[in-house]
Amino acid sequence: MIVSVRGLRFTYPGGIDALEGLDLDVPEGGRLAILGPNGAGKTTLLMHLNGTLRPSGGEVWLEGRPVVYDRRSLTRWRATVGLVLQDPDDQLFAGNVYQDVSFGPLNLGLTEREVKDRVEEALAAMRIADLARRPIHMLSFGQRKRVAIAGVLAMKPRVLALDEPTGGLDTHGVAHLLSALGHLVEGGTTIVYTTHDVDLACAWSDTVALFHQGRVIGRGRPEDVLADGGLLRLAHLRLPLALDVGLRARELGLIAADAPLPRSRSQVADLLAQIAGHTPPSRPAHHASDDAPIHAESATG
Amino acid sequence: MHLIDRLAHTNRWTDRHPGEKLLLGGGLLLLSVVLPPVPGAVLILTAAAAAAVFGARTPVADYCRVLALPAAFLISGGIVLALSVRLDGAGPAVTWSPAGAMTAIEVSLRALAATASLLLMILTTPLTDLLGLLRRARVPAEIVDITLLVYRFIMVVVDAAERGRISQASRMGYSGFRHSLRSAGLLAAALLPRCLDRAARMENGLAARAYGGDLRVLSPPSILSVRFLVGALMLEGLIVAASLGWTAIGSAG
Repeated sequence: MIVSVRGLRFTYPGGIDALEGLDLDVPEGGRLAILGPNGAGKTTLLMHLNGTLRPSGGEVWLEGRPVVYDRRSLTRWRATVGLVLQDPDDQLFAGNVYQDVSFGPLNLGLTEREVKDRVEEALAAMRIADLARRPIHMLSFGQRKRVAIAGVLAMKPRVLALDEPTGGLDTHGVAHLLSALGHLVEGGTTIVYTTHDVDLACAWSDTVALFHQGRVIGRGRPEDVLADGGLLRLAHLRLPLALDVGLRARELGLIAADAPLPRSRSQVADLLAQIAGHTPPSRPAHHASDDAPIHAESATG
Repeated sequence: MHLIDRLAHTNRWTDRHPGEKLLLGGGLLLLSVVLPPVPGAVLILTAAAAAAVFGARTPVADYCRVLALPAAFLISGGIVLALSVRLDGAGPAVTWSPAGAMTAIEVSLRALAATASLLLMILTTPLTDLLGLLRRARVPAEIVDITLLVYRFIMVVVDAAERGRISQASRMGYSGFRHSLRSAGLLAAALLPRCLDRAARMENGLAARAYGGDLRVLSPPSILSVRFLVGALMLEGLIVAASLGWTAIGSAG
């Protein structure tokens, strides 16, 4: 486990309990989706994963050791676990894109030469190299979001924690973002993200942790956790569309009772083709959809 | 504020090395102080405006709008300089003399030329580049950091205020004088806690990137163009030569 939390409690000033004895393990590699309705404590948990918040009770473990909250340990911790906030304006402060992205790596004490390489690499990874000299306030929301991620990426964290990464992005923006993040996963980065979008969590994750009122109430493969009607009702979430179609097909005997369930939009299309007796057609290269861009397919298998 | 900022980021010289623009704009500024205003200031004013409009391709209308405000101040100041008020004799009287008028014209021209030189720099150089120059000039990091944050937050606050105003206006908040006063007051009162909250969240955001009390950033690299530097020096040399030549002819004749 690269990061674990045990019995985590957190009470906001004013007595609002956000986390009530929460356990969660983040395994190295792959994508962990933290899924839950608004106000379930997802963001609060994320802020504990890199030491932004200190728990009122319980422990956080980093690479097998309980964390220490002194300044030097925190710097090392934040170089390991990068956190991208939901609102990019909470994170971007510099005058232009290049400068803002250089902030994190400079804080790690790298040389200017290394920082320059990292900035260029991060800008390329988020596909915003052409915006390098643009001032922050002249960027669209989607662009600012990508700059915020690039700023954390430039620190080369082993774990990238993102709060609602797709929130406020259009279909194209989501496809773009997931594709870039997919490349990172292939490179070995661990991704942890929060969302309340069941279809996204179903299509684009290896593990799902279901959140409800400051606790994890279910955890496992998305096709198992998200097909559990009882858990979903408890968490005030609905069945993902792809699983809904798959389960209905099983019920109707269109596919075998133990046939794998589709998880994404394109897998649903393939399932329909299979039922109709066609072999799945090859997909166009730039097929973007709201719940599962084509890039997610190669990783979900 | 927004206009100047937008122009600074969208002109043809935006990506030029700030040192080049410092040599041109700063050089013209220096000349406007040391050369006699006639014809020095006239030449400088022409050169600075031409550089901004033809060199950096600042739209003429925008350039005039930016220059209009300081120009209005300078010209009205010049008029006051040309006049003198006499309080002796039979009541107060406003008079003017040709010598006073000459001084007023000279002072106004000099000030206008200096303003145009400064504007040439401001309109072609993004603020972050100017701050980079300050940093290189060994201005304390704290001052540069605070300037940068103030700049960024002005944009954030202006944005928040604009969104709030739209939201109020779409709920009839600005129909009539009384409503407008009330809405503007409410908006101003709401902005303070909102900005404090935003500042607190930004602190979290910076902490997530291992902020250690020092807002150091790296600027994108830009290369000094020798051609531009030589061109700027030649232009300035030309202005000096023309000004000296004019003075020499004037004293000979």
